[in-house]
Amino acid sequence: MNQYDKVYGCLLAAAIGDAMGCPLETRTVSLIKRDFGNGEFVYDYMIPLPDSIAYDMPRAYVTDDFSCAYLSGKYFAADHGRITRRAAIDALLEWKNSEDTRIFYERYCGPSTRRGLEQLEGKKMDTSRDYLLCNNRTATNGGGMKGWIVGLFDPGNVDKAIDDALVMCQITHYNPIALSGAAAVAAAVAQAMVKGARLDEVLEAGLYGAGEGYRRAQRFAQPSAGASVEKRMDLAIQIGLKYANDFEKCVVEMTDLIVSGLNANESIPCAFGYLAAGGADVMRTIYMAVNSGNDSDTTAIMAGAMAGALRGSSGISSNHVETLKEANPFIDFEGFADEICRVTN
Amino acid sequence: MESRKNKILGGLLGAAVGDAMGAATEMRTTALIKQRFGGLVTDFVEHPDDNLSRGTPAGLVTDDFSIAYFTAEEMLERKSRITHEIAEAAMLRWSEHEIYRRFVGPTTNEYLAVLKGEKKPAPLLEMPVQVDRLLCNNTRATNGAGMKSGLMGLFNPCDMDSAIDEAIIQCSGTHNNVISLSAACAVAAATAAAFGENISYLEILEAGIYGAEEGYRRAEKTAQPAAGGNIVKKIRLAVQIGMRHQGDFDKAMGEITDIIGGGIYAYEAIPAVFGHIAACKGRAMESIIMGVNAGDDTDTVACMTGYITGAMHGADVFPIKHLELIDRVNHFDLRQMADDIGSFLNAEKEGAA
Repeated sequence: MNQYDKVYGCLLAAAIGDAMGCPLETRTVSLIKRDFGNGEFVYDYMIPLPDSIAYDMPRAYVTDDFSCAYLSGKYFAADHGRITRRAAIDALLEWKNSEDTRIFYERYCGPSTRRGLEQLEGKKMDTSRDYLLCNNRTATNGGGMKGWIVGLFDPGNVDKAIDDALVMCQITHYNPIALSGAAAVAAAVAQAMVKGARLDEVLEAGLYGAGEGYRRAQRFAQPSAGASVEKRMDLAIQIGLKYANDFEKCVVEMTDLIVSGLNANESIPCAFGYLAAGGADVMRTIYMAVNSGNDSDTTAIMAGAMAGALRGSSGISSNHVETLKEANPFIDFEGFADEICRVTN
Repeated sequence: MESRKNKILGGLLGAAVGDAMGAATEMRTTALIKQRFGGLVTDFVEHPDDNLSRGTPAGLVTDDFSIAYFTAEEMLERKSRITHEIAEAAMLRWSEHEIYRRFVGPTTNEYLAVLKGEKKPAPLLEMPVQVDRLLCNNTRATNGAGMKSGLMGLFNPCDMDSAIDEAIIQCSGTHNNVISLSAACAVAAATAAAFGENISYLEILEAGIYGAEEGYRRAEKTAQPAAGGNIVKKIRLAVQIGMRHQGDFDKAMGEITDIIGGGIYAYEAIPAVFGHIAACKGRAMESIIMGVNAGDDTDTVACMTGYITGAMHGADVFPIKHLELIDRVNHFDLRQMADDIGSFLNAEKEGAA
């Protein structure tokens, strides 16, 4: 497995997780089985139902998660692989306003990213809560949903990936919990890019990223009270390893105890739990994540990105590439993977 | 005061003390609480100017206890058990008190706006879609049901099943989803069980788990589904963590906050309550103080803990100055309220006989 295959596997698995998780978003595990799987788990791209966020969007369409990460990566690549605040901001603004991707902002954009972008554009903000020392409501997973991309630009350099994730994600998620989650995913992808990297090393890099990301972000970001991303990751990994061979038990225990929700200290630990549970099987990791429901697309994009970078694309059927390209013409997996490899060498 | 009335007063006072003490620490992390107040907060302290309680006097309760207080007033005036209509009237009555309404949570706030035909307020999290059409609205799975349902435990001494039913009646107007209601029933059942003679804290923890299980089962028939943590499993995990670190206050509190959480979602705050009670072996002031210092939604966590442990030990477990301060600052008469609730229950029993 060469570097190209790792980058390509990461991008592809991330997009699969996002697009497959999208129609299942907000539902519970049992409602996914009831409404989509005829009582069974779901292993394919579903058509969104009227009572879901993605209603009337096409099948296999990605969301804000992949489109935002993709565009950010394009800007970093154009800047010779450097992760700068300027590039991150330009990417966000293009993502919000361009013909190709505006739909993702309008349809899916989460609360913290929306606020961050409005601030960037100088829109008049609601300042009625600005006197509060802590803002515990923006400790969400929108850093992690896009932060994994920096890991591809920092292969093997976990510490730099953490710093880069903080540079990129603080624009929208200016608090230590959200940034801890983003750093964890970025660090894990950076470690997974190493030739011959093992699962345990990637999990360790993720835990290190969560801890370091929190400590570094604490020096500058607005404080936020909430559960620890790092300690919940530890528990999620235990659950994942314990029930690795029991798909249903793994998903139920993970969602009941860790929660695949909108907060960074929920979906990011879950993604690591499924990475651990999936072992060598990228698709199993993705399937577990999408069937978790709640914030299923974000959980699955992060789990997919980490698993894909670790295992490459060999375990992924080429049907996915065709399906995703057809539904999302703006994505060029091969060209983008080439570009990333070129600027990182 | 007869023993049952004393336990009712204990529940009311415990809840009010936890709520009012937590008002000062709410939203901060434990580290920031220690930094701001020079260590753990173990008494009523001046409210800081950078959280929701700014500008209010120490001892003032928040939305948490005050909603239950006005609900009890409404019930006592009408000499009636809780009904949907009384629950609604109580919310309206409460909402007239601006000093408490300023603390209102997102789910209750939305409910009030609909009830009063006001413009809908901003939701907990700004989302791009019209959330009303979603099958599951997971941002409504908040702790505003659990924060007021301890009262139903006080109206149903030793009767967990009735406490569960009445908690659902009390809370389904504002929090009609399975997670919030399961959590509310855990608190109501544990408070009801706390009236048992010589009850141990272990039995109270079991009562909480029973309430969460039964509450979920009963609520499922009518309430909206929601994706989120499982209250039963998370209470069990919180209790395990609490038990493991008994005798080490800081460690128990820190681990429960880090792993279980103590935030606005019902599947964080309510399990944390049972973790704190387990860690402190059911001792009233100690477990309340753990809630006050655990960080995030401290007032709600400590309020719920106060209902349960206060009813377990009775009012005498609290310093008398706490009762005096709460009554004075809030213009309450908790002793009178406890007496009235006890007399209402006695009259009901005589009526039935």
